[in-house]
Amino acid sequence: MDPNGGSSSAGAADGASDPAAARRRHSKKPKYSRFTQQELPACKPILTPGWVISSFIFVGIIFIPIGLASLFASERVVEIVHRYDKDCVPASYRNDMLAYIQSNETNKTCTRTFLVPKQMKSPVYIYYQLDNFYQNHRRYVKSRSDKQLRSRASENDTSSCDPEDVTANKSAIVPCGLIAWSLFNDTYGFSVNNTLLGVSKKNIAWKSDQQHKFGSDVYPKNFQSGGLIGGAKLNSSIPLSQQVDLIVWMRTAALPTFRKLYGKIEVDLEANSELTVVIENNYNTYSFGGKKKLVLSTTSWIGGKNDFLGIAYITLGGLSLFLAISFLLIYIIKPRPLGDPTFLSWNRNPAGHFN
Amino acid sequence: MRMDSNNPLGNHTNTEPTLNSSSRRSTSSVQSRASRGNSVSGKSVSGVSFDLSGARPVRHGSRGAESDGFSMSQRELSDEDARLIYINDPEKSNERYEFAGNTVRTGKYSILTFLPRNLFEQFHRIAYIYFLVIAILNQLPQLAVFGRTTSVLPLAIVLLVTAIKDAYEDWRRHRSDQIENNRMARVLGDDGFQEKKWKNIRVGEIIKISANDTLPCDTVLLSTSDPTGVAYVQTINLDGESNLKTRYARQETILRMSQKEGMSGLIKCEKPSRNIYGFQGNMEVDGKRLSLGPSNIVLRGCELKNTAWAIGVAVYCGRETKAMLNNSGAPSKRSRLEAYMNRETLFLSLFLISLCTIVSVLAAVWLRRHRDELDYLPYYRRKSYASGKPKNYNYYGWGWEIVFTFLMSVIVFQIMIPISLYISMELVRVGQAYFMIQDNKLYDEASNSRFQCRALNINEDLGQIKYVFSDKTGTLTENKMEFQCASIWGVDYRGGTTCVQGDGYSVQVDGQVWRPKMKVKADLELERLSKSGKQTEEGKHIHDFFLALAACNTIVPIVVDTSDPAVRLIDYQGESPDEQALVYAAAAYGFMLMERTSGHIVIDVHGERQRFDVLGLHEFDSDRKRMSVILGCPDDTVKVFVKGADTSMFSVIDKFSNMNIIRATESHLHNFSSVGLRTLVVGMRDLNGSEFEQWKFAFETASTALIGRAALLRKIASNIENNLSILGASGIEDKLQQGVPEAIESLRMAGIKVWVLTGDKQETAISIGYSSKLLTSNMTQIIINNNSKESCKKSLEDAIVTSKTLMTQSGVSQNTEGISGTAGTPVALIIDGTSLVYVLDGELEEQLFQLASGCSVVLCCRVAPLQKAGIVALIKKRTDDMTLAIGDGANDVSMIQMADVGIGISGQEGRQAVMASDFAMGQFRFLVPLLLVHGHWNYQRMGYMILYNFYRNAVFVLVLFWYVLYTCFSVTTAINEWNSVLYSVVYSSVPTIVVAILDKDLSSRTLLKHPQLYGSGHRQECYNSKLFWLTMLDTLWQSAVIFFVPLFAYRRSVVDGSGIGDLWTLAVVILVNIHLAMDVIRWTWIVHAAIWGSIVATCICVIIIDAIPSLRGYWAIFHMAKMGSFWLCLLCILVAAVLPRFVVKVLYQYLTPCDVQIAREAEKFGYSRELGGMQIEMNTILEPRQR
Repeated sequence: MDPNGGSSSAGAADGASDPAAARRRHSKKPKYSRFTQQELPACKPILTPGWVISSFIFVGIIFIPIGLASLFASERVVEIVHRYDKDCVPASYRNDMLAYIQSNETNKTCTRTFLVPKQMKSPVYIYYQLDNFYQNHRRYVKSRSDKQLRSRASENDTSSCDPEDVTANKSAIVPCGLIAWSLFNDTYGFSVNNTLLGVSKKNIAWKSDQQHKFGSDVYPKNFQSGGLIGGAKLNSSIPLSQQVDLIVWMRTAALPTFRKLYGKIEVDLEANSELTVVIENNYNTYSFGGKKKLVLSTTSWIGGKNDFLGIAYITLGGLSLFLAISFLLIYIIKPRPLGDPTFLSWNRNPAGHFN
Repeated sequence: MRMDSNNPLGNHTNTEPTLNSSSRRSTSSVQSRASRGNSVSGKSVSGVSFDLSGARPVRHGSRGAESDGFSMSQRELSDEDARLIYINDPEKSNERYEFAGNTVRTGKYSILTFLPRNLFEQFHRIAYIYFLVIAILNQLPQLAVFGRTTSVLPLAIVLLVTAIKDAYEDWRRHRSDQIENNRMARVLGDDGFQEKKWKNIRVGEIIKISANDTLPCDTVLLSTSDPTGVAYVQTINLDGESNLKTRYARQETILRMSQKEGMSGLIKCEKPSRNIYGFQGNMEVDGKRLSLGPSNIVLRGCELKNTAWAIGVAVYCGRETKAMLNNSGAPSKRSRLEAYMNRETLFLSLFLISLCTIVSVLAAVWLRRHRDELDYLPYYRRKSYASGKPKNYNYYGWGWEIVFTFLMSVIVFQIMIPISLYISMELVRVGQAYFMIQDNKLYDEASNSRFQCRALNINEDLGQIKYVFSDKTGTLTENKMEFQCASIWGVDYRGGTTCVQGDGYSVQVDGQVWRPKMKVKADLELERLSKSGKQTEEGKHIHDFFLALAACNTIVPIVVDTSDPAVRLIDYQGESPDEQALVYAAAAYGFMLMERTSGHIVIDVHGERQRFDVLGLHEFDSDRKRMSVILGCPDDTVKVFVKGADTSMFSVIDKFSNMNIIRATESHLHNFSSVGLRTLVVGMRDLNGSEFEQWKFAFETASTALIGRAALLRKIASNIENNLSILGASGIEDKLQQGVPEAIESLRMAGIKVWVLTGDKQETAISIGYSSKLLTSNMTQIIINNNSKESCKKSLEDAIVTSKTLMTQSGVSQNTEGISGTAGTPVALIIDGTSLVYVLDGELEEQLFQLASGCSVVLCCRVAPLQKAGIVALIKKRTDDMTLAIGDGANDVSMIQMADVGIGISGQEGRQAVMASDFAMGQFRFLVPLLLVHGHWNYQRMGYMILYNFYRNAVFVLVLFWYVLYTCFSVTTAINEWNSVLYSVVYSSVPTIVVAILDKDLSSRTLLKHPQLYGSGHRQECYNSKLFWLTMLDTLWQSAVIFFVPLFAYRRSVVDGSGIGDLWTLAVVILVNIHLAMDVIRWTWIVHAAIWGSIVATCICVIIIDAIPSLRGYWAIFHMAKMGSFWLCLLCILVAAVLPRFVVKVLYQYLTPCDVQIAREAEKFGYSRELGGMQIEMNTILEPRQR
């Protein structure tokens, strides 16, 4: 074959340089680049025993301290959880709690007392915890109108608020929707050793929500005026952006057991001091068997009291160290030189391989 | 290669039906004879020395193959089936029928039709329908899970991207159409020929084409610059064949056109058809009716060559031209991997349905248990009191609620079916094709051709090929014939020293040196003898032999200038490479063909120019397998020279004289073919006056006959080709392509079975088999040649027994050559076409399959094109193994289309094979890098990508599913709807595509060094059911970790839905990208950018989405990220989720490493000691030796 190629190869001395140059010009030969030839410089990591063991050890060394730290943090959080939904119903109504809670005549006030187990540094966060309350139910989550909450102009934008959108005479409810309608309305008053404690509602709602999601010119209207009262009533002279309890409530919880911030106590609570709580037990969870709890808790860098992450980290770290040791043993007991061609299938088993 | 190519004349298939003229004039030969004997010299040679006013020269000839053409054109075309064209009267031609104008439109759309048509075409894909149905479901108010816009978005994005791609391609087509349509042609108007744009040409107009012009439409020739009406055309644009073809104008029209008064007449021809080798019609001129055949029409796209001008009438224009009708797209095949993938997709659909069923059943149970509370539940509240009277709000009863829950969960879990995977796969294949095309290793310098990907959906099949069916001529060999040796009058001239002389043989013409373009090695002894003239008996025979070689053909010599004005080259153009080789050989021995017109040829015999009148020419046909020419020699004798295949020639040779010579020749022939040469036998006979007159009379009657002309001509040819005396035989080498033996060896080591299917003789096939290392000396050959079904059956059964015993015997004996694929003595099966006729008939197929699948090599010789496809089908039907067919000629088309992967060699023999193929390349040896490197990569990449995509979608769906269990089964998603939509489109799609295009498990060097690594594709190592289920198990674990870690960490806390949703989103996206990163083998900067870029992009998107006040999750991510637990969760999820996979991967890789794994380690830690000899051989595949 003619090296310059082709059927057009002129044999004689007809100026071989010319056509060759022309051919080079018209050559369709792909331009060489490391990209097109798939030869880009690359790092080719391989799971060598050294890498495997050291990565496990690394994970172990990182994870165990993190686990310990978060366990420690969680231990330092002081938390008082007090379930009151049953205890706050007078004995005479124990068999028909629904009647008690739905009645307007009954006295809903209930006083509970308990000891502070450890010193609680301020701020002490007050939460209410609802169990078995599906704030993430599809019907519930969708039943709100963000437009209406944000500006007065879209006051009548209640299309997404079924079944709590308008009153019987077709005027819009502000705030509309099931979420707002079911606003939590128990209240708590605290006193330690017979001195009243102030409950601060400052900064319990997100700044971002107050500023951008709830309008300062939107006032409650026709709220809780329908046939069925769902929960708290709102002062219609306060704009929505200042209704912090509503704002907290309307940030719907992710899970059926959830806490919501009620307020903060801005003084330290000493250990063994007696805490008295006066509860206005208004909210109806009795119809669906939901529990109500009052939670007082301090906080730490990982949030509230929760050992799960600490345990998880320690477990993972321990597992990694264990795996590191196991792999070390495997590598010692059953050594295999990496890239040893004698292990290739056609070298191990010369015949009958391709079947 | 063509089926007849064992015969050097084989290339006269019916591609070139020809000869005109029912009216031949006997006067011509008389006149020719009168001028005979004038040794033509000097100037008269270059000009055509006929007096145009006198009797007209004609060609005599017969051509069997065009019998169709003749008989068809005689058949009456009914008016409904015909189109009527009034020559030079376009108005009248176009008034009755709406013939297409000459505007071509390859563009599919116009601006107006683009949107509807493009959408219509896109929705042909089932995937898009699925998208659409889901989107429509979501529009129903009861089912609105996502917002209206978000649900339509993914579909819209996909449609838009595809539409833009289509629009761009179409725009390019429009642009090239425009260029084409505005080219200029000369059309006969009122005052002579005028320039006119192509698009304005109409049917019926007369067009004049000059040399080297391209035909604007299909035209019937009326006249050419050649007085006999011959025009040479190059059809490279049409069928890729670069040689010149001859077309003829009818004698009558030539006369009319020369009379300067214009031309009128009526052409009646068939409706437009795709057949580029067929045309029928007739023409009425001056009340006479002339038949028109395929030889009278020149098609759009052809170029006029070697003819100063030609005039024709347009019969088909624009989209009705044959070129445009043949402009169809690439064939479509589906890849094996995709078929498997569909099986797994079915599993996933079942999984999806069961998830949805679980959700709806649980929802039903919940509704049932709480049916009394529904009115009071603050988070359900069935009743609406807005209109005074309480009524159910958005509650349609128990049954409907179940149905709605089911449908809603389908909408939420929709991406379980990896629809985006189909689109990603298309993108990946385009990327892979790009790299295959760009690969320098697949570029053929000789033909300046790149690799071509014509089918875009079977890239990964290249990694699983088990059988390669190869054609021989043009595929294994170059199909560039070279004359090697001759046996003349019983003497074998090949022992002598052969060498190439400085410049080869040359002649002087007008002070210029003319020499043949190709040099041929000449035997010195033979050269001396041929120079010595024909005084001796020996010299006479040699003279006749070379005269036969120079004259008995259809080669057209074309003189080309060189840069040196004193030197001109003669390029022999013809359709058969064998004939070219013979003419070049004759030239090298001093018998140089100088000129050919239709009436005579001029041959320079050792410096003496001699003119021979071609009195008759019986062209090759596949029945006779020979051709003959009747020459009126300068010494006033008439001789018939015949050349043809040995089988056909020995039957017409006079057996009684010169028995010894015949025997000697036969043994020489055997020798020739056993070294792989293609053989031809040449014979001649003197004709006496009466014989010639008799022949001439019969010939003229036959050629004017209206019915059965082809058969008559064939009979006349057979009559005259008789009682020949043998002159000798020639041996032509069909040279093996570069690197073929090494390539075959590599393929065999890779566990690929190579079968060769050839039309050649058995001896030739076997010898090529040896030279290409297909056959080796340690193989046992089983040869099956049978003429009846019974004997065929018997020999097959015997062969099975033999091969079995051979294999079991040697299974015991130690054999070091285990790599050849079979244990023990390899068996080679050689079977011929006649036996295959009986085998492929039916019952014997099974036996052949049994036998053949045990053999390491199968060689089928003398097979017809359809039989080739039959053999491929035999394997395809009975096994699951992938088949690949590779060939270069029209006769391989059926095989290429039948096989799972068809590869066309863009070589010497036209482009039909390429047009039918899935991939096209320049050389056989490229098969090695194509399969072992690109095939392996593509398979590995695609296999991983499919698994990964299943995983990545399923893990997301499962996270959604776990959450549904905590929402009263009401199909709420914590993950923001925008995040769900963007997840499969933006967050995780780019890295997998990039990795599937760029990742390489091994370097090409390693893959070529160890062809056995190709076995990973055969063993389906990268994609199989086990891997799928393991991946799904891993998916289950990972999704559980993603979901439950935050769940436990944020149990009983103030966390809101959007915040934890953002955590889940980030966790899923980072995890699937880390998962991918763990499996990436080569980290280039592009992969880094894609993977880490995706994660960063996701974070940015999540932040942007949470900065939109109208969405529920406003600012949630910032509140989440402030807490330490958020970051701890994220880290914990990543480590815990990846851990099992990592451990399994490490254990698997360490304890039971696969070949690919070991090779990868070797690559990194360099076990260079076993590079060894293999390297050198590989280099010849990649970089051919420069000869």
